[in-house]
Amino acid sequence: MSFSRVLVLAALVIYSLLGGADYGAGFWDLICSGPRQQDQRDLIARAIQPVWETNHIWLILVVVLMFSGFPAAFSEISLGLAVPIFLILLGIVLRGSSYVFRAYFTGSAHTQLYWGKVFSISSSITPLFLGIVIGAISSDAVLVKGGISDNGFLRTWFQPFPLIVGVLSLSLFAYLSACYLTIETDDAALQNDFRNRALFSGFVSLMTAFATYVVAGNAAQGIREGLSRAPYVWLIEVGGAIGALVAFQALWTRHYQRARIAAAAQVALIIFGWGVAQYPYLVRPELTIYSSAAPTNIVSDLVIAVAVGALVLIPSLVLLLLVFKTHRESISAGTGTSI
Amino acid sequence: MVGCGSLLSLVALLAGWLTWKRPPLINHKPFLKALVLVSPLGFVALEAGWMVTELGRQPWIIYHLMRTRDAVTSMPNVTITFLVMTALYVILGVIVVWLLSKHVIATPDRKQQLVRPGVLV
Repeated sequence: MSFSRVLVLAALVIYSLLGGADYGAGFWDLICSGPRQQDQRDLIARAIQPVWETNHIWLILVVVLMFSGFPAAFSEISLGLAVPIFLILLGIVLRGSSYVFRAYFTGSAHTQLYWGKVFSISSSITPLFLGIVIGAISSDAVLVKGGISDNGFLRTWFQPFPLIVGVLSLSLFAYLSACYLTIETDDAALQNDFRNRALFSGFVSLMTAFATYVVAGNAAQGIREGLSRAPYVWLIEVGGAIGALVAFQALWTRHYQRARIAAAAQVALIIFGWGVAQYPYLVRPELTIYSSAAPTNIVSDLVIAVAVGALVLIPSLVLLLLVFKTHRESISAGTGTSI
Repeated sequence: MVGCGSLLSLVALLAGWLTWKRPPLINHKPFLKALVLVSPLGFVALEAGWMVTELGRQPWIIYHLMRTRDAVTSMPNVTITFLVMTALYVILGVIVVWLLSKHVIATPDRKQQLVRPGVLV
């Protein structure tokens, strides 16, 4: 049971590091500005093009592990948080389809720009609600009795703590994405644009993280106690802080490769730290990984299924990234000709 | 679904046979016409397959284990979710058909389009 919980958490971390950065890229697409606006959009489109669909498998893994491994928690989340989950779904659908429509549309440039707008707005809204769901299941508000949510549709999540966690996740994804984008181009001016954005959004995410901790004092006592409980939680937090410092120093001195790795480590440790602080709960205040787990034989079959799946999945993903992310020159040379 | 699949495999076999007997295939007018005629069958087969699995197993949601009416959510106001999602997919469906028909029927004027962004999927 603990092992499948670790799998859920690992899938969530990987989804944030890969898929989260794609959402962040959509956010930067929304607020592109300055003389290199079009170049920035091109860079974003080129960077996420080969991976944005693939990255969703990690979210699918989280969902499947939850409903097969922890059906009680899955049911409580989908009932109590129906509104934010519905909006996430809407965002994912609109984002994917508008991205494809923009690429295949054969009419005027005006309409293509309109699709771009739908893409970037839905990319920005989705991580907000992903964070809201995480905030809500950490804050003792999601309670379901007899299949009906005790706090209705809104009071489970429309509160300061979940909302601020939503902002935190959006700012973290934007920060990650800006760090990644610096090494997706050789153009120094473009690199500089995204370096400044990474520094700015990194600063915003640090401020939001601090605000989250303060607000948790009133709204989410349990998670705050979890964060300051065991010595190893402190270790994770210190690790995250070191990641942030290294990333900032690397961005400042324009060492983009190092910044990318440090930023990814920082975000991974933040989510991992949340997972440890949430332990043993899945949905506060009632459901733990023990009370919501499926029968033991199902959980162990599930772990075997994931292991077998990983044998196929991980080599394919590595191949995909090797093909599209290591030969950048040949790709950008090809973009002008093909469609 | 089965009929469409079989017909499509027959056309594929025919293509193989013709390539062997009378190359090049591109000059074989009747075959090209047949190819155009069977091209929607892939879509038809796909949709028919979904119909069989989703409608064919009613009233069971899990065949012989659980009835659909016992699986309905306890959440109120499901109609709203249902209507919004249906409307969304109807709109997306219309756009897809429109985009596909544009691609099939019209030759797009490349000059009017954005040369960049290089958004390719």
